[in-house]
Amino acid sequence: MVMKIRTIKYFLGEGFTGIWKNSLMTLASIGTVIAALIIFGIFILFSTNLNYIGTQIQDEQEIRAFIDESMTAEQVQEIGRQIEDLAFVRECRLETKEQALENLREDLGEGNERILEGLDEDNPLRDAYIVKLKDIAYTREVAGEISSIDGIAVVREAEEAVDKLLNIMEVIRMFSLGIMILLAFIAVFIISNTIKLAVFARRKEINIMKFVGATDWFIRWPFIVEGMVIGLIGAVIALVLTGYGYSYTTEYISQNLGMFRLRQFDEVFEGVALIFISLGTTIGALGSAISIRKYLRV
Amino acid sequence: MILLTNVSKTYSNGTIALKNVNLYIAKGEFVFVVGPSGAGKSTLIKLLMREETASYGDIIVNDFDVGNLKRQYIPYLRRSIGTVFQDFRLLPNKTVYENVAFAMQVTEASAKEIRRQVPFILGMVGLASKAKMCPHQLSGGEQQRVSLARALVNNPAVLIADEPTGNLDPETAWDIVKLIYDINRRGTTVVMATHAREIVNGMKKRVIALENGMIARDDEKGVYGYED
Ligand SMILES: Nc1ncnc2c1ncn2[C@@H]1O[C@H](COP(=O)(O)OP(=O)(O)O)[C@@H](O)[C@H]1O
Ligand SMILES: [Mg+2]
Repeated sequence: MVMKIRTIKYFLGEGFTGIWKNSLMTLASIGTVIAALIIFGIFILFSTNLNYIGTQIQDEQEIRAFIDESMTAEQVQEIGRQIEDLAFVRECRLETKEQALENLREDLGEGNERILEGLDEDNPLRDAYIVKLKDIAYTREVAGEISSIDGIAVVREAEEAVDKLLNIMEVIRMFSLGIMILLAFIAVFIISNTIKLAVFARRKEINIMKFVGATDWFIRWPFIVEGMVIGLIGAVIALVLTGYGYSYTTEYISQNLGMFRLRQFDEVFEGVALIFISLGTTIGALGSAISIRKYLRV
Repeated sequence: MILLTNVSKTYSNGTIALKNVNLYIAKGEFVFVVGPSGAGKSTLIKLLMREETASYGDIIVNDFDVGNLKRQYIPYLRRSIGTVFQDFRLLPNKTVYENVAFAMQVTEASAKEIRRQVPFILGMVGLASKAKMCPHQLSGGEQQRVSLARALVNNPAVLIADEPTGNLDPETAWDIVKLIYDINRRGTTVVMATHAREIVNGMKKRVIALENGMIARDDEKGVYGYED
Protein backbone atom coordinates (compact mmCIF):
# COMPACT_ATOMS: atom_id res chain seq x y z
CA MET A 1 0.00 0.00 0.00
CA VAL A 2 1.51 3.27 -1.12
CA MET A 3 0.71 6.15 1.19
CA LYS A 4 1.08 9.78 0.45
CA ILE A 5 3.03 11.95 2.88
CA ARG A 6 0.06 14.20 3.60
CA THR A 7 -2.02 11.16 4.40
CA ILE A 8 0.60 9.92 6.84
CA LYS A 9 0.62 13.38 8.43
CA TYR A 10 -3.15 13.19 8.71
CA PHE A 11 -2.99 9.78 10.43
CA LEU A 12 -0.33 10.97 12.86
CA GLY A 13 -2.30 14.12 13.66
CA GLU A 14 -5.52 12.19 14.23
CA GLY A 15 -3.73 9.49 16.20
CA PHE A 16 -2.14 11.97 18.59
CA THR A 17 -5.36 13.98 18.99
CA GLY A 18 -7.15 10.79 19.97
CA ILE A 19 -4.71 10.32 22.82
CA TRP A 20 -5.79 13.57 24.52
CA LYS A 21 -9.50 13.05 24.00
CA ASN A 22 -9.56 9.91 26.12
CA SER A 23 -7.06 10.87 28.76
CA LEU A 24 -8.15 8.59 31.60
CA MET A 25 -8.30 5.38 29.59
CA THR A 26 -5.14 6.42 27.83
CA LEU A 27 -3.37 6.75 31.17
CA ALA A 28 -4.58 3.32 32.23
CA SER A 29 -3.33 1.88 28.94
CA ILE A 30 0.06 3.55 29.22
CA GLY A 31 0.26 2.33 32.82
CA THR A 32 -0.27 -1.31 31.91
CA VAL A 33 2.19 -1.09 29.05
CA ILE A 34 4.73 0.31 31.51
CA ALA A 35 4.06 -2.47 34.01
CA ALA A 36 4.30 -5.19 31.38
CA LEU A 37 7.49 -3.80 29.93
CA ILE A 38 9.15 -3.26 33.30
CA ILE A 39 8.46 -6.85 34.26
CA PHE A 40 9.76 -7.91 30.90
CA GLY A 41 12.78 -5.65 31.42
CA ILE A 42 13.49 -7.31 34.77
CA PHE A 43 13.23 -10.65 33.03
CA ILE A 44 15.63 -9.63 30.25
CA LEU A 45 18.14 -8.03 32.60
CA PHE A 46 17.93 -10.97 34.96
CA SER A 47 18.58 -13.41 32.11
CA THR A 48 21.37 -11.31 30.72
CA ASN A 49 23.14 -11.21 34.04
CA LEU A 50 22.45 -14.86 34.62
CA ASN A 51 24.21 -15.72 31.39
CA TYR A 52 26.97 -13.27 32.24
CA ILE A 53 27.45 -14.86 35.66
CA GLY A 54 27.23 -18.24 33.99
CA THR A 55 30.19 -17.44 31.77
CA GLN A 56 32.07 -16.14 34.79
CA ILE A 57 31.38 -19.37 36.67
CA GLN A 58 32.27 -21.37 33.61
CA ASP A 59 35.59 -19.56 33.46
CA GLU A 60 36.39 -20.43 37.03
CA GLN A 61 34.93 -23.90 37.16
CA GLU A 62 37.42 -26.65 36.58
CA ILE A 63 38.02 -30.36 36.99
CA ARG A 64 41.34 -31.47 38.46
CA ALA A 65 42.61 -34.85 37.32
CA PHE A 66 45.57 -35.98 39.44
CA ILE A 67 48.00 -38.28 37.74
CA ASP A 68 49.49 -41.36 39.31
CA GLU A 69 53.16 -40.81 40.25
CA SER A 70 54.22 -43.94 38.38
CA MET A 71 53.43 -42.37 34.99
CA THR A 72 56.30 -41.45 32.74
CA ALA A 73 56.46 -38.09 30.95
CA GLU A 74 55.20 -39.63 27.67
CA GLN A 75 52.36 -41.36 29.44
CA VAL A 76 51.39 -38.06 31.06
CA GLN A 77 51.30 -36.45 27.62
CA GLU A 78 49.21 -39.31 26.28
CA ILE A 79 46.71 -38.84 29.12
CA GLY A 80 46.52 -35.12 28.23
CA ARG A 81 45.68 -36.00 24.61
CA GLN A 82 42.96 -38.41 25.74
CA ILE A 83 41.38 -35.79 27.94
CA GLU A 84 41.48 -33.21 25.14
CA ASP A 85 39.65 -35.66 22.89
CA LEU A 86 36.70 -35.93 25.26
CA ALA A 87 33.45 -34.17 24.41
CA PHE A 88 32.77 -30.76 26.07
CA VAL A 89 36.44 -30.23 26.98
CA ARG A 90 37.41 -26.66 26.21
CA GLU A 91 40.83 -26.50 27.72
CA CYS A 92 43.23 -28.96 29.33
CA ARG A 93 46.33 -27.65 31.04
CA LEU A 94 49.02 -29.58 32.88
CA GLU A 95 49.99 -28.31 36.32
CA THR A 96 53.17 -29.98 37.55
CA LYS A 97 53.58 -30.76 41.21
CA GLU A 98 56.27 -28.03 41.38
CA GLN A 99 53.79 -25.45 40.06
CA ALA A 100 51.14 -26.78 42.43
CA LEU A 101 53.48 -26.31 45.37
CA GLU A 102 54.31 -22.80 44.19
CA ASN A 103 50.59 -21.95 43.97
CA LEU A 104 49.99 -23.42 47.39
CA ARG A 105 52.75 -21.28 48.80
CA GLU A 106 51.26 -18.19 47.25
CA ASP A 107 47.83 -19.06 48.57
CA LEU A 108 49.12 -19.48 52.10
CA GLY A 109 50.70 -16.06 51.95
CA GLU A 110 53.49 -14.32 53.85
CA GLY A 111 54.57 -15.71 57.17
CA ASN A 112 53.27 -19.23 56.59
CA GLU A 113 56.15 -20.43 54.45
CA ARG A 114 57.31 -22.67 57.28
CA ILE A 115 54.47 -25.08 56.85
CA LEU A 116 55.72 -26.02 53.42
CA GLU A 117 59.38 -26.10 54.44
CA GLY A 118 61.37 -28.99 53.06
CA LEU A 119 58.68 -30.04 50.64
CA ASP A 120 60.71 -28.84 47.66
CA GLU A 121 63.05 -31.77 48.07
CA ASP A 122 60.32 -34.32 48.62
CA ASN A 123 57.15 -32.99 46.92
CA PRO A 124 54.10 -34.93 48.13
CA LEU A 125 51.82 -33.31 45.55
CA ARG A 126 50.91 -34.86 42.23
CA ASP A 127 50.94 -33.63 38.68
CA ALA A 128 47.43 -32.75 37.57
CA TYR A 129 45.48 -31.80 34.47
CA ILE A 130 43.25 -28.78 34.99
CA VAL A 131 40.28 -29.25 32.67
CA LYS A 132 37.79 -26.56 31.70
CA LEU A 133 34.55 -27.39 29.97
CA LYS A 134 32.50 -25.81 27.24
CA ASP A 135 29.41 -26.35 29.36
CA ILE A 136 29.62 -26.92 33.08
CA ALA A 137 26.36 -28.81 33.05
CA TYR A 138 28.37 -31.85 31.89
CA THR A 139 30.91 -31.66 34.70
CA ARG A 140 29.92 -34.96 36.27
CA GLU A 141 29.90 -36.93 33.03
CA VAL A 142 33.27 -35.61 31.92
CA ALA A 143 34.77 -36.17 35.37
CA GLY A 144 33.60 -39.77 35.21
CA GLU A 145 35.16 -40.31 31.81
CA ILE A 146 38.42 -38.79 32.94
CA SER A 147 38.63 -41.00 36.01
CA SER A 148 38.34 -44.11 33.84
CA ILE A 149 41.47 -43.12 31.89
CA ASP A 150 44.47 -45.29 32.88
CA GLY A 151 46.95 -43.44 35.03
CA ILE A 152 44.52 -41.04 36.60
CA ALA A 153 44.66 -41.35 40.37
CA VAL A 154 41.94 -39.01 41.58
CA VAL A 155 39.46 -36.62 39.95
CA ARG A 156 38.11 -33.64 41.82
CA GLU A 157 35.13 -31.85 40.33
CA ALA A 158 33.12 -28.74 40.99
CA GLU A 159 30.63 -28.59 43.78
CA GLU A 160 26.99 -29.03 42.98
CA ALA A 161 25.93 -25.78 44.63
CA VAL A 162 26.53 -23.92 41.40
CA ASP A 163 24.23 -26.28 39.56
CA LYS A 164 21.50 -25.73 42.09
CA LEU A 165 21.89 -21.96 41.93
CA LEU A 166 21.51 -22.12 38.18
CA ASN A 167 18.37 -24.24 38.52
CA ILE A 168 16.75 -21.80 40.93
CA MET A 169 17.56 -18.92 38.63
CA GLU A 170 15.99 -20.77 35.73
CA VAL A 171 12.77 -21.21 37.73
CA ILE A 172 12.68 -17.50 38.57
CA ARG A 173 13.27 -16.75 34.91
CA MET A 174 10.32 -18.85 33.74
CA PHE A 175 8.13 -17.32 36.44
CA SER A 176 8.85 -13.74 35.38
CA LEU A 177 8.36 -14.69 31.74
CA GLY A 178 4.91 -16.01 32.68
CA ILE A 179 3.99 -12.79 34.48
CA MET A 180 5.24 -10.77 31.52
CA ILE A 181 3.07 -12.67 29.05
CA LEU A 182 0.07 -12.27 31.33
CA LEU A 183 0.67 -8.53 31.64
CA ALA A 184 1.11 -8.20 27.89
CA PHE A 185 -2.32 -9.75 27.44
CA ILE A 186 -3.80 -7.37 29.99
CA ALA A 187 -2.14 -4.45 28.22
CA VAL A 188 -3.55 -5.53 24.86
CA PHE A 189 -6.97 -5.87 26.44
CA ILE A 190 -6.90 -2.45 28.09
CA ILE A 191 -5.59 -0.77 24.95
CA SER A 192 -8.32 -2.40 22.90
CA ASN A 193 -10.83 -0.94 25.36
CA THR A 194 -9.28 2.49 25.05
CA ILE A 195 -9.51 2.27 21.29
CA LYS A 196 -13.06 1.03 21.59
CA LEU A 197 -13.93 4.22 23.46
CA ALA A 198 -12.06 6.24 20.86
CA VAL A 199 -14.02 4.52 18.09
CA PHE A 200 -17.24 5.16 19.98
CA ALA A 201 -16.40 8.82 20.54
CA ARG A 202 -15.77 9.23 16.83
CA ARG A 203 -18.54 7.04 15.41
CA LYS A 204 -20.20 10.05 13.81
CA GLU A 205 -17.02 11.05 12.09
CA ILE A 206 -16.41 7.47 11.00
CA ASN A 207 -19.90 7.26 9.53
CA ILE A 208 -19.30 10.45 7.57
CA MET A 209 -15.94 9.16 6.40
CA LYS A 210 -17.63 6.05 5.11
CA PHE A 211 -20.26 7.79 3.04
CA VAL A 212 -17.86 10.29 1.53
CA GLY A 213 -15.76 7.35 0.35
CA ALA A 214 -12.88 6.84 2.78
CA THR A 215 -11.14 3.50 2.36
CA ASP A 216 -11.14 1.08 5.27
CA TRP A 217 -7.47 1.65 5.88
CA PHE A 218 -7.89 5.40 5.87
CA ILE A 219 -10.37 5.01 8.70
CA ARG A 220 -8.32 2.43 10.56
CA TRP A 221 -4.89 4.04 10.54
CA PRO A 222 -5.53 6.86 13.02
CA PHE A 223 -6.64 4.28 15.58
CA ILE A 224 -3.64 2.08 14.90
CA VAL A 225 -1.42 5.13 15.28
CA GLU A 226 -3.17 5.96 18.54
CA GLY A 227 -2.51 2.47 19.88
CA MET A 228 1.09 2.54 18.77
CA VAL A 229 1.67 5.96 20.34
CA ILE A 230 0.24 4.66 23.63
CA GLY A 231 2.65 1.72 23.38
CA LEU A 232 5.53 3.99 22.51
CA ILE A 233 4.92 6.41 25.40
CA GLY A 234 4.66 3.41 27.73
CA ALA A 235 7.91 2.01 26.34
CA VAL A 236 9.85 5.25 26.84
CA ILE A 237 8.63 5.69 30.44
CA ALA A 238 9.30 2.02 31.20
CA LEU A 239 12.80 2.39 29.75
CA VAL A 240 13.61 5.36 31.97
CA LEU A 241 12.22 3.65 35.09
CA THR A 242 13.98 0.39 34.32
CA GLY A 243 17.24 2.23 33.68
CA TYR A 244 17.22 4.00 37.05
CA GLY A 245 15.93 0.99 38.94
CA TYR A 246 18.53 -1.25 37.39
CA SER A 247 21.42 1.09 38.05
CA TYR A 248 20.52 1.43 41.73
CA THR A 249 19.96 -2.29 42.13
CA THR A 250 23.20 -3.36 40.53
CA GLU A 251 25.12 -0.78 42.51
CA TYR A 252 23.56 -2.10 45.71
CA ILE A 253 24.25 -5.72 44.80
CA SER A 254 27.86 -5.20 43.83
CA GLN A 255 28.51 -3.20 46.99
CA ASN A 256 26.90 -5.71 49.32
CA LEU A 257 27.33 -9.10 47.75
CA GLY A 258 29.86 -8.50 45.02
CA MET A 259 30.60 -12.11 44.18
CA PHE A 260 30.21 -11.66 40.46
CA ARG A 261 30.42 -8.82 38.03
CA LEU A 262 27.04 -7.56 36.72
CA ARG A 263 26.26 -5.82 33.46
CA GLN A 264 26.16 -2.04 33.51
CA PHE A 265 22.97 -0.47 32.13
CA ASP A 266 24.76 1.27 29.25
CA GLU A 267 26.02 -2.15 28.13
CA VAL A 268 22.45 -3.39 27.70
CA PHE A 269 20.65 -0.09 26.99
CA GLU A 270 20.41 -0.47 23.21
CA GLY A 271 19.04 -3.98 23.36
CA VAL A 272 16.50 -3.15 26.06
CA ALA A 273 15.40 0.05 24.27
CA LEU A 274 14.92 -1.83 21.02
CA ILE A 275 12.90 -4.57 22.69
CA PHE A 276 10.77 -2.14 24.72
CA ILE A 277 9.93 0.06 21.78
CA SER A 278 9.15 -2.75 19.37
CA LEU A 279 7.18 -4.67 21.99
CA GLY A 280 5.32 -1.56 23.20
CA THR A 281 4.25 -0.49 19.72
CA THR A 282 3.31 -4.05 18.82
CA ILE A 283 1.12 -4.38 21.91
CA GLY A 284 -0.48 -1.02 21.04
CA ALA A 285 -1.08 -1.90 17.41
CA LEU A 286 -2.48 -5.29 18.40
CA GLY A 287 -4.88 -3.74 20.90
CA SER A 288 -6.13 -1.32 18.24
CA ALA A 289 -6.42 -3.98 15.60
CA ILE A 290 -8.57 -6.15 17.87
CA SER A 291 -10.81 -3.21 18.70
CA ILE A 292 -11.13 -2.11 15.10
CA ARG A 293 -12.10 -5.60 14.02
CA LYS A 294 -14.71 -5.75 16.72
CA TYR A 295 -16.17 -2.27 16.82
CA LEU A 296 -15.31 -0.42 13.63
CA ARG A 297 -16.62 -2.95 11.11
CA VAL A 298 -14.80 -1.35 8.26
CA MET B 1 -26.62 6.54 -14.65
CA ILE B 2 -28.59 4.24 -12.39
CA LEU B 3 -30.10 0.90 -13.35
CA LEU B 4 -32.00 -1.50 -11.09
CA THR B 5 -33.24 -4.86 -12.39
CA ASN B 6 -35.58 -7.02 -10.33
CA VAL B 7 -34.23 -5.62 -7.08
CA SER B 8 -35.63 -6.94 -3.81
CA LYS B 9 -34.50 -6.30 -0.30
CA THR B 10 -35.47 -8.30 2.76
CA TYR B 11 -33.83 -7.23 6.03
CA SER B 12 -32.39 -9.87 8.32
CA ASN B 13 -35.42 -9.54 10.64
CA GLY B 14 -37.69 -10.54 7.75
CA THR B 15 -39.00 -7.08 6.83
CA ILE B 16 -39.50 -6.83 3.10
CA ALA B 17 -38.43 -3.29 2.21
CA LEU B 18 -38.27 -3.52 -1.60
CA LYS B 19 -40.02 -5.92 -3.98
CA ASN B 20 -38.96 -6.48 -7.57
CA VAL B 21 -37.97 -2.90 -8.36
CA ASN B 22 -37.01 -2.08 -11.96
CA LEU B 23 -35.71 1.38 -12.57
CA TYR B 24 -33.60 3.32 -15.04
CA ILE B 25 -32.39 6.85 -14.35
CA ALA B 26 -30.39 8.44 -17.16
CA LYS B 27 -27.39 10.66 -16.70
CA GLY B 28 -28.44 14.22 -15.92
CA GLU B 29 -31.99 13.38 -14.83
CA PHE B 30 -33.75 14.89 -11.81
CA VAL B 31 -35.92 12.31 -10.05
CA PHE B 32 -38.12 12.51 -6.96
CA VAL B 33 -38.73 9.35 -4.98
CA VAL B 34 -41.95 9.74 -2.98
CA GLY B 35 -44.10 7.50 -0.87
CA PRO B 36 -45.40 7.14 2.65
CA SER B 37 -43.12 6.51 5.56
CA GLY B 38 -41.80 2.95 5.48
CA ALA B 39 -42.35 2.62 1.73
CA GLY B 40 -38.69 1.83 1.12
CA LYS B 41 -37.22 5.18 -0.03
CA SER B 42 -34.27 5.13 2.33
CA THR B 43 -33.66 1.48 1.63
CA LEU B 44 -33.43 2.24 -2.07
CA ILE B 45 -30.84 4.93 -1.36
CA LYS B 46 -28.85 2.65 0.93
CA LEU B 47 -28.73 0.04 -1.81
CA LEU B 48 -27.39 2.58 -4.29
CA MET B 49 -24.58 3.51 -1.88
CA ARG B 50 -23.97 -0.09 -0.94
CA GLU B 51 -24.74 0.67 2.68
CA GLU B 52 -27.03 -2.34 2.36
CA THR B 53 -26.88 -5.13 -0.21
CA ALA B 54 -29.84 -6.22 -2.29
CA SER B 55 -31.25 -9.65 -1.49
CA TYR B 56 -32.01 -10.15 -5.15
CA GLY B 57 -31.42 -8.36 -8.46
CA ASP B 58 -28.73 -6.18 -10.00
CA ILE B 59 -27.83 -2.57 -9.39
CA ILE B 60 -25.57 -0.47 -11.57
CA VAL B 61 -24.52 3.04 -10.55
CA ASN B 62 -21.99 5.06 -12.56
CA ASP B 63 -20.55 1.92 -14.19
CA PHE B 64 -20.15 0.22 -10.81
CA ASP B 65 -21.77 -3.20 -10.50
CA VAL B 66 -22.92 -2.29 -6.99
CA GLY B 67 -24.19 -5.67 -5.86
CA ASN B 68 -21.03 -7.53 -6.83
CA LEU B 69 -18.60 -4.81 -5.86
CA LYS B 70 -15.60 -6.06 -3.89
CA ARG B 71 -15.28 -4.50 -0.48
CA GLN B 72 -12.19 -2.52 -1.31
CA TYR B 73 -13.92 -0.77 -4.25
CA ILE B 74 -16.93 0.44 -2.27
CA PRO B 75 -15.18 3.73 -1.35
CA TYR B 76 -14.72 4.51 -5.04
CA LEU B 77 -18.41 3.93 -5.73
CA ARG B 78 -19.22 6.31 -2.89
CA ARG B 79 -16.83 8.95 -4.21
CA SER B 80 -18.85 8.96 -7.42
CA ILE B 81 -22.02 9.67 -5.42
CA GLY B 82 -22.66 12.82 -3.40
CA THR B 83 -24.97 12.21 -0.42
CA VAL B 84 -27.14 14.54 1.60
CA PHE B 85 -29.28 13.57 4.61
CA GLN B 86 -32.14 15.08 6.52
CA ASP B 87 -29.95 15.52 9.63
CA PHE B 88 -27.03 17.18 7.75
CA ARG B 89 -24.40 14.97 9.45
CA LEU B 90 -21.77 17.65 9.90
CA LEU B 91 -18.84 17.42 12.29
CA PRO B 92 -19.70 19.82 15.13
CA ASN B 93 -16.11 20.65 16.10
CA LYS B 94 -14.97 21.47 12.61
CA THR B 95 -15.57 24.69 10.69
CA VAL B 96 -17.64 24.90 7.54
CA TYR B 97 -14.45 24.94 5.50
CA GLU B 98 -13.01 21.92 7.36
CA ASN B 99 -16.25 19.98 7.04
CA VAL B 100 -16.11 20.34 3.27
CA ALA B 101 -12.35 19.85 3.02
CA PHE B 102 -12.73 16.64 5.04
CA ALA B 103 -14.48 14.91 2.14
CA MET B 104 -11.51 15.73 -0.08
CA GLN B 105 -8.90 14.71 2.50
CA VAL B 106 -10.50 11.31 2.64
CA THR B 107 -9.83 10.87 -1.08
CA GLU B 108 -6.20 11.90 -0.51
CA ALA B 109 -6.55 15.03 -2.63
CA SER B 110 -3.57 17.39 -2.50
CA ALA B 111 -3.60 20.42 -0.22
CA LYS B 112 -3.44 22.60 -3.32
CA GLU B 113 -6.49 20.98 -4.89
CA ILE B 114 -8.34 21.32 -1.59
CA ARG B 115 -7.46 25.03 -1.30
CA ARG B 116 -8.71 25.60 -4.83
CA GLN B 117 -11.85 23.47 -4.77
CA VAL B 118 -13.35 24.11 -1.32
CA PRO B 119 -13.76 27.92 -1.65
CA PHE B 120 -15.19 27.42 -5.13
CA ILE B 121 -17.86 25.02 -3.87
CA LEU B 122 -18.62 27.18 -0.82
CA GLY B 123 -19.15 30.10 -3.18
CA MET B 124 -21.47 27.96 -5.27
CA VAL B 125 -23.73 27.15 -2.30
CA GLY B 126 -23.54 30.77 -1.10
CA LEU B 127 -21.52 30.22 2.05
CA ALA B 128 -18.19 31.82 1.14
CA SER B 129 -18.54 34.33 3.96
CA LYS B 130 -19.24 31.67 6.61
CA ALA B 131 -16.31 29.38 5.92
CA LYS B 132 -14.78 29.87 9.37
CA MET B 133 -17.97 29.27 11.34
CA CYS B 134 -18.93 26.08 13.12
CA PRO B 135 -22.19 24.24 12.34
CA HIS B 136 -23.92 25.33 15.56
CA GLN B 137 -23.53 28.98 14.49
CA LEU B 138 -25.53 28.33 11.32
CA SER B 139 -29.23 28.03 10.54
CA GLY B 140 -30.65 24.70 9.40
CA GLY B 141 -30.72 25.85 5.79
CA GLU B 142 -27.10 26.95 5.98
CA GLN B 143 -26.10 23.64 7.53
CA GLN B 144 -27.80 21.79 4.69
CA ARG B 145 -25.85 23.98 2.25
CA VAL B 146 -22.64 22.90 3.94
CA SER B 147 -23.60 19.26 3.58
CA LEU B 148 -24.47 19.91 -0.09
CA ALA B 149 -21.06 21.53 -0.56
CA ARG B 150 -19.46 18.48 1.02
CA ALA B 151 -21.47 16.16 -1.25
CA LEU B 152 -20.38 18.07 -4.34
CA VAL B 153 -16.78 18.84 -3.57
CA ASN B 154 -15.48 15.68 -5.24
CA ASN B 155 -17.53 16.33 -8.41
CA PRO B 156 -19.79 13.28 -8.16
CA ALA B 157 -21.78 12.16 -11.19
CA VAL B 158 -24.84 11.49 -9.01
CA LEU B 159 -26.30 13.42 -6.08
CA ILE B 160 -28.52 11.41 -3.75
CA ALA B 161 -30.59 13.25 -1.16
CA ASP B 162 -32.68 11.50 1.49
CA GLU B 163 -35.35 13.99 2.62
CA PRO B 164 -32.91 16.92 2.47
CA THR B 165 -35.62 19.42 3.36
CA GLY B 166 -37.22 17.34 6.11
CA ASN B 167 -35.84 19.54 8.89
CA LEU B 168 -36.31 22.89 7.15
CA ASP B 169 -39.13 25.42 7.00
CA PRO B 170 -40.91 25.63 3.60
CA GLU B 171 -39.13 28.75 2.42
CA THR B 172 -35.66 27.46 3.25
CA ALA B 173 -36.62 24.12 1.76
CA TRP B 174 -37.34 25.82 -1.56
CA ASP B 175 -33.95 27.54 -1.48
CA ILE B 176 -32.24 24.19 -1.01
CA VAL B 177 -34.24 22.56 -3.79
CA LYS B 178 -33.41 25.43 -6.14
CA LEU B 179 -29.76 24.94 -5.31
CA ILE B 180 -30.06 21.22 -6.01
CA TYR B 181 -31.76 22.06 -9.30
CA ASP B 182 -28.86 24.39 -10.17
CA ILE B 183 -26.49 21.53 -9.54
CA ASN B 184 -28.65 19.26 -11.71
CA ARG B 185 -28.49 21.74 -14.58
CA ARG B 186 -24.70 21.58 -14.46
CA GLY B 187 -25.04 17.91 -15.39
CA THR B 188 -25.27 16.05 -12.08
CA THR B 189 -27.90 13.32 -11.89
CA VAL B 190 -30.17 13.94 -8.87
CA VAL B 191 -32.22 11.41 -6.91
CA MET B 192 -34.19 13.01 -4.10
CA ALA B 193 -36.39 11.11 -1.67
CA THR B 194 -38.91 13.47 -0.16
CA HIS B 195 -42.16 14.05 1.67
CA ALA B 196 -42.47 17.64 0.49
CA ARG B 197 -45.62 17.71 -1.63
CA GLU B 198 -45.36 21.43 -2.55
CA ILE B 199 -41.89 20.98 -3.86
CA VAL B 200 -42.66 17.88 -5.91
CA ASN B 201 -45.71 19.47 -7.43
CA GLY B 202 -43.90 22.75 -8.06
CA MET B 203 -40.87 21.24 -9.79
CA LYS B 204 -42.71 19.11 -12.35
CA LYS B 205 -39.97 16.53 -12.57
CA ARG B 206 -40.01 12.77 -12.86
CA VAL B 207 -41.70 11.20 -9.82
CA ILE B 208 -41.24 7.60 -8.74
CA ALA B 209 -43.77 6.60 -6.11
CA LEU B 210 -42.98 3.67 -3.82
CA GLU B 211 -45.66 1.83 -1.90
CA ASN B 212 -44.94 -1.16 0.29
CA GLY B 213 -41.61 -1.58 -1.41
CA MET B 214 -42.97 -1.59 -4.95
CA ILE B 215 -43.00 1.06 -7.63
CA ALA B 216 -46.61 2.25 -7.78
CA ARG B 217 -46.06 5.07 -10.26
CA ASP B 218 -43.26 6.40 -12.43
CA ASP B 219 -44.36 9.65 -14.13
CA GLU B 220 -42.49 12.20 -16.19
CA LYS B 221 -43.44 15.67 -14.88
CA GLY B 222 -45.35 13.97 -12.10
CA VAL B 223 -47.03 15.10 -8.94
CA TYR B 224 -46.79 14.04 -5.30
CA GLY B 225 -50.20 12.40 -5.32
CA TYR B 226 -50.69 11.48 -1.66
CA GLU B 227 -52.92 12.97 0.97
CA ASP B 228 -50.74 12.86 4.05
N1 LIG C 1 -32.04 -1.87 9.21
C1 LIG C 1 -33.31 -2.30 9.11
N2 LIG C 1 -33.64 -3.49 9.62
C2 LIG C 1 -34.91 -3.96 9.51
N3 LIG C 1 -35.90 -3.30 8.91
C3 LIG C 1 -35.63 -2.10 8.37
C4 LIG C 1 -34.33 -1.54 8.44
N4 LIG C 1 -34.35 -0.34 7.82
C5 LIG C 1 -35.61 -0.15 7.40
N5 LIG C 1 -36.38 -1.20 7.71
C6 LIG C 1 -37.79 -1.40 7.36
O1 LIG C 1 -37.89 -1.41 5.97
C7 LIG C 1 -39.04 -0.72 5.55
C8 LIG C 1 -38.65 0.44 4.63
O2 LIG C 1 -37.97 1.43 5.39
P1 LIG C 1 -37.32 2.72 4.76
O3 LIG C 1 -36.57 2.32 3.55
O4 LIG C 1 -36.59 3.43 5.81
O5 LIG C 1 -38.59 3.55 4.33
P2 LIG C 1 -38.77 5.10 4.05
O6 LIG C 1 -37.41 5.72 3.95
O7 LIG C 1 -39.56 5.16 2.79
O8 LIG C 1 -39.55 5.63 5.20
C9 LIG C 1 -39.74 -0.26 6.81
O9 LIG C 1 -40.73 -1.20 7.13
C10 LIG C 1 -38.64 -0.25 7.84
O10 LIG C 1 -39.17 -0.49 9.11
MG1 LIG D 1 -36.52 7.27 5.03
